[in-house]
Amino acid sequence: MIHYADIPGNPYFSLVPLERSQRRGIAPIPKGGDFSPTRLSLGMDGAIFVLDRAHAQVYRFSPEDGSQIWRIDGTEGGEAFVDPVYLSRGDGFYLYLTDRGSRKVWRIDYRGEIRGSLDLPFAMDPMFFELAAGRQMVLYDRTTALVHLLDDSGRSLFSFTPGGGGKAAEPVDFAVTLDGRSLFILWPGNGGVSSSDLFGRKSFDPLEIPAWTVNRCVCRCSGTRYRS
Amino acid sequence: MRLSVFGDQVPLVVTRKGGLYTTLNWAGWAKGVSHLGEELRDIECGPDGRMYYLADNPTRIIINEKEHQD
Repeated sequence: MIHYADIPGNPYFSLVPLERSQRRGIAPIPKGGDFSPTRLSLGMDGAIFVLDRAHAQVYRFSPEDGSQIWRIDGTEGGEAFVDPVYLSRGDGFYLYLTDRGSRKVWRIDYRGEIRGSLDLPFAMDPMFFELAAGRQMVLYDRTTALVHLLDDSGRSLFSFTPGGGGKAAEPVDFAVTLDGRSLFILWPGNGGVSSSDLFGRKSFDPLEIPAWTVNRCVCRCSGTRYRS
Repeated sequence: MRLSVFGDQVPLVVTRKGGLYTTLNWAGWAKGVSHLGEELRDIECGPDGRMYYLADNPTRIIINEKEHQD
């Protein structure tokens, strides 16, 4: 059964509570210590990684039962993580952890072993880091407000100022499409979502996030699924 | 708020407090607002077409077994 919460002027709007039967919950209960996860990352093969920024730790959990496979804090590689803020998507072999505290991007393999860091002398405050097409990578540096396209060694090939959000705005979040060819940036306030290719060519005008998407209708509606 | 992208293109997903998340289409229309009824810390579009949620209270990962439909 489908319930739509129609909003005048927007025929595409719908409200979709996720039916319990569609959910499968796994409970990551770390072995010992506190756990305050902040960011979720998925590998192409179903691997699940979680960043706990408060405790500067990265976990891998089993997608089957939520059991912890490993936990690292950087000391395994000789240098503890300081202020890890972003965990990239996994590529099947590695994932990348952006550490603002040490201004490094750590390469971590799927076994939880740290395989060095990228040398990023041009980035004063690396913030977001994702994998891109052709073994390239994309980095957003907060200090310079530039997006860098990197080769697989971390060398900057090209940089640009992302559009959208206004001059003083800082991105809230960052995403790269699965094919690694398009970049999306979420801006605060009414900045919406901007999009470009890896060379900064704008894909479309910033998408607005309508304020009306959060309203009291939410509490009154129910349904099972939606289809636009 | 958090941002995630399904597959090679849109829709985009933007999380909001209170367990709500918004799905946008290419034109920027909000296609839908969904909710889990609890606070979300993060949301990710899986390469398998499923959505993964990092939920609070209790802290756990929820997988939406139903594959996403554009």
